[in-house]
Amino acid sequence: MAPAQLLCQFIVGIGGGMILFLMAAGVSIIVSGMNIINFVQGAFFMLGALMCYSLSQVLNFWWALLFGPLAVACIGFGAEFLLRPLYKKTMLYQLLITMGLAFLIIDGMDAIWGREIKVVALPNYLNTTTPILGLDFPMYYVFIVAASGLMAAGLWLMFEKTRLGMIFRAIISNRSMVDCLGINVKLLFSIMFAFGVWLSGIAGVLMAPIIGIDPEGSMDILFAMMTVLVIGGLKSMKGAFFAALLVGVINAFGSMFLPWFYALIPAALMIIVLLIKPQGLFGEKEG
Amino acid sequence: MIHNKPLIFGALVTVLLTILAAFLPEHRSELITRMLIMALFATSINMQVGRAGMMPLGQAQFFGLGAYAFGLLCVKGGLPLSYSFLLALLISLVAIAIIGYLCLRGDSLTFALLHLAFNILLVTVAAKWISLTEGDQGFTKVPRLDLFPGNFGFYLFVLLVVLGCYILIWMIVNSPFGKVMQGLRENEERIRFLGIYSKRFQLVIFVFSSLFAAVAGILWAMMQKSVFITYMSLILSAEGLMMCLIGGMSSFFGPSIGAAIVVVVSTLASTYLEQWQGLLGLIIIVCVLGFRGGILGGKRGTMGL
Repeated sequence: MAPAQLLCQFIVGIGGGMILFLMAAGVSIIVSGMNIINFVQGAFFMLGALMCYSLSQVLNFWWALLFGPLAVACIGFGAEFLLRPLYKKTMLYQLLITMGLAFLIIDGMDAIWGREIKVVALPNYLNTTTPILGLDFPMYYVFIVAASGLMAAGLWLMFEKTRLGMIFRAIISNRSMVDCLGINVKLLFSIMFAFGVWLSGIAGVLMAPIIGIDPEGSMDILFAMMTVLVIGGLKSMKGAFFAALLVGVINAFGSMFLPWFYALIPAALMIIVLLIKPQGLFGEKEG
Repeated sequence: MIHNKPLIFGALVTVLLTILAAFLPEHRSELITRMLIMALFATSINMQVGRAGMMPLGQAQFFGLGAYAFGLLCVKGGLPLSYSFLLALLISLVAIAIIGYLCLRGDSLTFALLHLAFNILLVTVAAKWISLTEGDQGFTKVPRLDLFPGNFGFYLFVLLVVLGCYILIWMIVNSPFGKVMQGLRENEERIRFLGIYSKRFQLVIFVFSSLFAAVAGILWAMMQKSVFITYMSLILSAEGLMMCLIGGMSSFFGPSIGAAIVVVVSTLASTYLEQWQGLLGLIIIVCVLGFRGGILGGKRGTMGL
């Protein structure tokens, strides 16, 4: 195996991992803020991809990249109102309602966009290949890595440097205290949820040109994301980042070199992490 | 007296279903067989959810495990039916014991996530180990155990097995052991203070509950005469939990009613419109927001899950 091919496969893996990271980061924000594991995230990913499909036909890909996730975030903002009565209830009800929502959205997408698998055309200059060590490499993967890398950096900056990020962090560590300080926590929960969903929408739009868009696949993506989230630690964004890169690279190389059982590695890793360090590789013990 | 009411209810429903199954046209009577099997599946989940307060997010893995083990043994292994039935149960039992032991090592959230993780693992095995399981295609020609001839005969066979399981479950949840389970649901710490090793109790209930799910899976494979990857899918796991919720998790027969509703809705909706899972999602949202006790729930507040 030539080193160039290895490098290409590596970049493909990083790209796939970064997409998983964007979704997992969204869920991680929602879990740490409001203690709800959002099982709708996979459906929102597909919704983003479908928005990209429709918008790129009317406008172009770049506008789709801007408006697609925003539209998804608006729907997420609305969906959060359904969750409000459940914040203090047991996790079972929260899980069930997010699953119910996911079913509803998946079938809604089927009804609106139809069942056939859709493909999004790329803008020409992204549809080229770039030579890497003498091997033609699809430009779009480089774009995905760059775009989601920027997003990850932006996320970090937002959490560390902006006022909104500061309030988010405050809510995560002590919700009632923030409430006492006169900040509208209810509204911020909606914003937080919409923000997490927005990240998923971006992941969907970015992936739209290289996957066949099929709402029925939402759940598979959701559970791929769940493995990443658990390996890294439910509430740790840093953990999700490294776990996502790890899983992405394993998937990329595994599909090349290993027989079928490479597909078991993420799930097996998830089990091992849960058995040895249930709070995740980068999670911290609570309490 | 309180204990007699559900028994009478169960007996009445059994008689009613049998009459229906005998006189309905064939494609409708199969609906009743489906209901029975799904009811067993939902009740097996509720042994953990409603009684012991555990959260099995991936119960379909044992449903599918039973179905795959049985299907593989008799289709690919060529074993006689009754042997494959028993052997499939034995294989499931071993897997369940190992998975259960591992799942119960942590707290309740870890349990739920591990349960889910094992479901993901098993469904990946079933999807990717193509030389054994035929992957996404699944395999057909799974035979039925013909104790009695014909479709109605198969219904009777399912009825007998499901009834047997129900009686066992009834005995388990109403035994002193079942009382400890309820105690675990209400306040695990307190039960531990009483000197009861809670993990062992949870493991026992886990094994029983998952084994009944495997039985339901075997029956399902016989009914469909085939084994598909969907038997093990996480969506089925979610549906099982939804059945419990719709019917009411605090009652014995609630999940069965929920299962019947889901089966009827899915069958009716899939003949008239394609979006039956969306409809199920809608029902769930209404249930969670409106009446968390479910149909047989009665008053809320007694279930400190």
